[in-house]
Amino acid sequence: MCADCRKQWKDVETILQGAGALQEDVKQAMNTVDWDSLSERIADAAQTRTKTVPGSVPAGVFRPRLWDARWRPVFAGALGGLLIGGAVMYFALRSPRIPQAPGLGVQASGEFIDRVEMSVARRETIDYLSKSQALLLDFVQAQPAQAGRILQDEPAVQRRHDLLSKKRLMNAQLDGIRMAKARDICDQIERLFIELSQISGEMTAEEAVRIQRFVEDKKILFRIKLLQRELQESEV
Amino acid sequence: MNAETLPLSPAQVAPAVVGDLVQRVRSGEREAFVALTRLYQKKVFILAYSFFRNKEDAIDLVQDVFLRVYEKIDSYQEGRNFEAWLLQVAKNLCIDRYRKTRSRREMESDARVDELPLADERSPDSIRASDLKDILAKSVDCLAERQKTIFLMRHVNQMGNEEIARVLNISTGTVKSLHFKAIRKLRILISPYLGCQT
Repeated sequence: MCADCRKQWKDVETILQGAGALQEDVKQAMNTVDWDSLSERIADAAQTRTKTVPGSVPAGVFRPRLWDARWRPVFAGALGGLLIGGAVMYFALRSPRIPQAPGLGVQASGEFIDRVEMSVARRETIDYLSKSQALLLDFVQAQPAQAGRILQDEPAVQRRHDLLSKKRLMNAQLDGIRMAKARDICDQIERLFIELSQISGEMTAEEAVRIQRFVEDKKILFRIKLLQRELQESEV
Repeated sequence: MNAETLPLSPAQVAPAVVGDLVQRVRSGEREAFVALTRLYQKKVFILAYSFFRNKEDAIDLVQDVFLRVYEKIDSYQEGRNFEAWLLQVAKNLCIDRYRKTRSRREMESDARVDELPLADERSPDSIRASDLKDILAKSVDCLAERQKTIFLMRHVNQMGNEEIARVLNISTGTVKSLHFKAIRKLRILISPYLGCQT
C-alpha cells in the first residue's frame, strides 16, 4: 500500500473510531431514560388524542371558496407559471454549458468501496468479539455456584440480547470469504448465547460447569483473542 | 407470548408475535400498544438521538413516531417487516424535524466545523477522542440527508446494509455507495483537524 493510501485508510479508521464515540454518547443518554414510563406516557397520549380528535371536516366546507370563479384565473396563472418555469429549468439544467465543479464527482472503484465495507466489517467483528469475551470471561472465572447468577442477572441478559442482535446484523458481512474464519467463531458464540437464553429458571451449578467446560474445551476465549489480534493486524 | 413478558430486544421476537400485537393495537388494546412501544422505543431513540444529539428532542421524536404509528396502524400491510416500516416512519419524522430545526440549531451552535480548533501542526496525531467526536458530529451534519441517514444507521444504530436498504427502499448497492460517499466527504471535512492534506 502506498503512503497516500495508508494515510487515507488511517483517516477512514479515525472516522470509524469517532462513530464509535457517538455510539457511546447514545448509550449514556439511553441509561438516563425511564423507558417504562415513556411507553405508558405515549400510550396515554395516543388514547387522549384519539378521543379528542374533532370529527372530520364536512366535505365541501372549503371547496366552494377555493374553487370560486374569481380565483380561477389565479390558479390558471400559477399553473402556467409552473409549467413554463419547469420547462425553462429543464432546458437550462440539461445544457452542457453549465460546467461541473471540479473534484465533486465521486470516483471510487467497486474494489475501494468493498475495502471500506471490509474495514467496517472487521471493526464490528472486533467489537462483537470484545463484548462476547468480556461476558464469557466473567462467567468462566466465576465459581460454578455463582456463575449462573452472573449470566442471568438483568444487565447480562441485556448484553446477551444486544450481542445476539448484533450478530444477526453482522451475518451478511461475515459471508465474505475473507471473514470465513471469523464467521466460524462468531457462529459458535451465537449458538452458546442462544443456548443460554433457552435455560429457563435458575442455572444449576452442574449446568454452569458443563457450559464452562464447553467454553474451555472449545478454547473459545483463546480463539477470540487470536482472531481479535489477527483482525487488528489486518486493519493496519 | 404475553405482551408483558416480551423480551427487550426486537430481534428475539418472532414476526408472528409482532403481527399479533399489531392486530391487537388495531382493535384498540392499550396493553398491546404499550408492548409494541416497549419493544421498539430504544431503536427509534437511537436513530433520533443520532440525528439531534439531544435527549429531549429524541424523546419527543420517539413520542411523535409512536403516535404516528398508532394513527396509521391501519395502513401497515400485514406480512411486511414491521420494524422496517416503523423505522421508515421514524426516519421521515427525523428528517422533517431536522429540516425545521436546522437553521435554529446552526444559530445556537457554539462552534461550526470550521470554527473548531485545528490539530496541532507539530503533532497531527494528537487529536483527542472528545474533540474527534465533536468534529465528527458536526461534520455528519454537513452530509447530504441520505448520506447522513445511512452513516448514522450504519454506525450508531448498527444496522446492516440490507436492513438500511429495506428501510430506505433502495438497493443494497446504493446503500454501500452512499455510505462510501459519506465517508469520503467526512474525510474531506475532518482532514484539517487530523493535520493532513486531501
